[in-house]
Amino acid sequence: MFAGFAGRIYRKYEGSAFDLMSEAVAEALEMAGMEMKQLDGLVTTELPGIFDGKANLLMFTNQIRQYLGLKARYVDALDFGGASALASVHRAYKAIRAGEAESVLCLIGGKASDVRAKGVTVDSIDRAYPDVAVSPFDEFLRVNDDLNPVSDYALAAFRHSRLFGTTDGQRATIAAQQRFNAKGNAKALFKSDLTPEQVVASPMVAEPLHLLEIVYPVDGFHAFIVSKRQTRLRTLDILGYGEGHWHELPPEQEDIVSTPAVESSRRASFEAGRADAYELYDSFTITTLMQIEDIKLATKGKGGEFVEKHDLTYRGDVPLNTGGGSLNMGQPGFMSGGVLLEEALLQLNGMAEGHQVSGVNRVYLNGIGGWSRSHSVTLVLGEKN
Amino acid sequence: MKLEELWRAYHERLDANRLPYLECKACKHRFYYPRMLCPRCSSTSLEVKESDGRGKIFSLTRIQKKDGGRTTYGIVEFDGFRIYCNVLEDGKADVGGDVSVAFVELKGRKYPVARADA
Ligand SMILES: [Zn+2]
Repeated sequence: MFAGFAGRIYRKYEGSAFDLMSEAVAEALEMAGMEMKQLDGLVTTELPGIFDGKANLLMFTNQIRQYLGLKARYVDALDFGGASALASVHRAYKAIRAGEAESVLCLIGGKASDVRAKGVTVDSIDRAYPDVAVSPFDEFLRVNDDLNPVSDYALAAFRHSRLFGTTDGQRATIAAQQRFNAKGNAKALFKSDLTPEQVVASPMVAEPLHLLEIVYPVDGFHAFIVSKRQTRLRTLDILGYGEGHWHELPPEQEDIVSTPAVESSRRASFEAGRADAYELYDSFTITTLMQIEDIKLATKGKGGEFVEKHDLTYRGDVPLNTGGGSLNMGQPGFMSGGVLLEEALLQLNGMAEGHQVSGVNRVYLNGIGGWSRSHSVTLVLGEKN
Repeated sequence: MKLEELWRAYHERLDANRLPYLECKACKHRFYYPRMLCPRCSSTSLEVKESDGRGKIFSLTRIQKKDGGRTTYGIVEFDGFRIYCNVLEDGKADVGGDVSVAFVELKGRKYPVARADA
């Protein structure tokens, strides 16, 4: 189902977001041995600020196609942040099966550097662009000294610690083991040795989260070509798929120590333990920890014990974020879904040089978007028997 | 009630150092963030009420500020509803700890914060 894919990531890209996007698309087309005119579909996503600092692109799928010269008969736009990438593949897959397109470009990413330069993130974009709304309740939210999105994840992590006894060291072991994986990945941004002790000793950003538990937003795009065309890539299929979309603000949720992965994984109906590798969203260590519980690798509250007991490296018994994850690759355009999907495809095609898990036939992916509480997409990729 | 009326009702109470919330007349659900329909049962029959101002910390985080200072932000449960707010505390506040509502003025309007009990 994948004809080609590519990911281009820079700390700071000297050029327009449109240029960066084109680089990724060209590389994916090259891998597929295809030309732009053979594409007839586009599924993509946008967040405020990620196209060269512009608050918004009017009819952005059209602008993207104008720039690329992509003539499409199927176009879809998603709005799930970090969960968009995995959903885009499913939308493309369905469109192709329905005969609505032959070859669909799934495009995810943007430039974080222009937003970073304004001293904000996409989740606190209202502080740089007062006319952008973050919620219908901004009148009563903007008065607080929050630090979104870090503070919401910190509230989840703090409560997780108090309810279940989860320790800083347990979360830190996730970051340290992912760093081990990153050391074998030529494309990783951060590759120096890292111990759990060093993670805990890094500056506190929002208690209990330390600097080295938090993803670094970068400039980057991922392009995935979903197509019936047979290329040199392995023939894969979707073995499980589910979405979960929650609407409540954390103060109005029953509790804040779970993510919508609880629902998306249930809908995917694929027993998590049967996968050979896991790519779980890692905007923060706590994000990954909560998903380990939510997809039922561990029961709720036991995620901390789980990451201590198991070897999460690419050589281990539970290979997780096998290329180092977004914590070490950077988070392109404030959305890490492309990082997860690229790594899964490298693993499944035996192309993960330096960090290849042996005998990978099924990869379990989970993307999270809109803080820890809004969107989750579970996608299991492998060969259909 | 439309959003504008709700905001007015909220601001009148906040400016008088009282913490408003909404209660659904149909299902008795309580919530803080103003909207014209109950998020639980969709009833538009809502009543603005006032909290007794006593609450408990649901979660908190101490945020390191760029100027070297620290600020505490949290989710606090008052009588049957929760809000996000700043928490005034001495570094010892914790989940389950008792707080009382207090009010701070920002741009001529008052907003709720939680003060940890000594
Ligand atoms: Zn109701």
